Amino acid sequence: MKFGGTSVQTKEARHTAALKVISAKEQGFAPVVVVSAIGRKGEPYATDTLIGLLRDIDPAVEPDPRELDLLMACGEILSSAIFAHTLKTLGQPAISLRGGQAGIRTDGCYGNARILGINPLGLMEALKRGLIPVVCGFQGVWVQGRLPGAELTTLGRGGSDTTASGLGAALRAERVEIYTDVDGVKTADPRMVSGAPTLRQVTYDEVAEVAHLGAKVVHPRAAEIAMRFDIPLWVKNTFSEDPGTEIVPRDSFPGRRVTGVTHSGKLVYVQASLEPVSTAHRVEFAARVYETLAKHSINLHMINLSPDGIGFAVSREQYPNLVDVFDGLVVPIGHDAIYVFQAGESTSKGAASQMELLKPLGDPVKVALQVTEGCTMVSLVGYDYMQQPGVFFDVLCRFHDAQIPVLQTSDSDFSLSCLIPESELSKAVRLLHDGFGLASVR
Amino acid sequence: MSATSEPFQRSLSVPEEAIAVTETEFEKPRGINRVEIRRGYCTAHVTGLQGEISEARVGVLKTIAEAGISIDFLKLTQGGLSFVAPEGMQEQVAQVLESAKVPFDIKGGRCIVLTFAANMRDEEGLIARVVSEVIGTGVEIDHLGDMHDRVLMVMDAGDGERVARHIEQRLVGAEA
Repeated sequence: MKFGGTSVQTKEARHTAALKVISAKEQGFAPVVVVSAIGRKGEPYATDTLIGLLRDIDPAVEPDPRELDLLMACGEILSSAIFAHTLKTLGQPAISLRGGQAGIRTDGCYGNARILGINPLGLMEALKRGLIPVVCGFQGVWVQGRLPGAELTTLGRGGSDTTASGLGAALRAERVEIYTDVDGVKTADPRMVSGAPTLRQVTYDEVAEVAHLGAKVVHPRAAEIAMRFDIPLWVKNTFSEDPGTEIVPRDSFPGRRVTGVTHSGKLVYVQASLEPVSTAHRVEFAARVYETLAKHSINLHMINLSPDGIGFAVSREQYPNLVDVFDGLVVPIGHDAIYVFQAGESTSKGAASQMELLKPLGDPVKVALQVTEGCTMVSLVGYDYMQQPGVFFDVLCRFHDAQIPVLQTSDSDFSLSCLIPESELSKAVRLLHDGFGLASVR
Repeated sequence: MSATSEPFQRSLSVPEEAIAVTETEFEKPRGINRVEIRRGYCTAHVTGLQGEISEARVGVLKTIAEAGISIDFLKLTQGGLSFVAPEGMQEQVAQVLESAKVPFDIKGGRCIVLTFAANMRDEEGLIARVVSEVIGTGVEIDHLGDMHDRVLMVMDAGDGERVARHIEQRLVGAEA
């Protein structure tokens, strides 16, 4: 049973969550609890707040990932000790365990470690002794050769879900339950579509795709582990008795349907015309652009490739990084051609100074990145549905009639996405939700 | 005596076989793990649409939908749009676009190269790395899409094998 930040946020919430655990035990199960850090962004013990303690020392100095991991893990350690004590106050024997104590062994990638293995014997021992283990989510240990002790690592985004699924697999659990503050997987963000129904069953693929496209439900890593080990996975609400959503393998769900509408965060759409680039250099030029994006770990959405131009969207958070990297970036190709990037239409300081410096070497060619800020991506997710004739027409026609500009589209086996102005997001989500009959989906 | 040292009275439903488990290895390794090719597609590029562009695009899509043609990889271009359809429908796509009286170009013999990686979105820079590697081979990518566990690239079927081999050699098993 995994409880997210809002489920352990207050004394009352923890009490409610603890009663769920006790109820499971009373039904004859041996519950193992996984907890996230207390609260969400901005709250005193939330992961972001803890990170701020390091970053605030000197924003110009990037903290070491190892120190960050050690600090971030404190949020879950606090939470597990407090939750274990809450259970004890309710008369239940419980024990808090760090990820390493629960047997979670990872690789050495601080901040985004992968679980290499789980040795659940410690947990089994605790269960045999009649204790309810309360495990810190989001963390494990990296054992380095012969060095004494082990390095604490964190599992990256969705780390607590991954912890729960991983422990479920290692313990061959009857089920893994992810508790949150909504009733399960919804057909749309309930803040935009009030009364959006809760889906009773979704496939692992659907839930992974929904998460990939921006919804915060179950992390794809957690879904994948549950799928591989055939562990039933549920999403439930800590604060209601709703039965929740069961996440099932693809063959258990033969139907075709539109699953829901999801949306990403804030995006910036970046385009560059390759017109100024000599035709002979375009392939190499484009390859260099993507190589640079990869080198700087920039995550891309909505990639658009053509012989005349390139286009992609990046998150608002990564956009300043992109500008830092590209504005004034010099791309020499062959013996005689020098290209200089400029972020935006108007001459930037970075590009101008590079152009000036490079003049003695020939005539550098400026390539401007056209930037459209304030975008977002709205996606229709479907199971075995996107290959039907007319889906694109249906979506684009609705947006056209509602005067919602579509800047670009992209699609896959499970989804169809449109890049739109952020100001139109709520309208677009409601339009697709109503238009595809999602109010009656179960 | 603390609560934790109290003997637990209930019998627990711990599965016997779980006791025997010592370690379970389950997360897929980071980065690209396999490449697959799907064949039998064509790509159509509609250009030079007249009038209000959004309306003109919707008009083309309506004609295609009414003909019962399933399309993928729709991309909006400067004066039109492009998409992928099953190669078996190439002739029908051409007829439909002709009847819509729009300038177009259609190419058969396309394939989709699928590059799989667990949890693609969290491996920052991975999608860009795949694209950079493929463009670097000199192959022209017609279209590109992504899912939670794969990047899909449409290209000439003659290039598919070469690209798949290149990705396997350069990226499979390599960390992002």
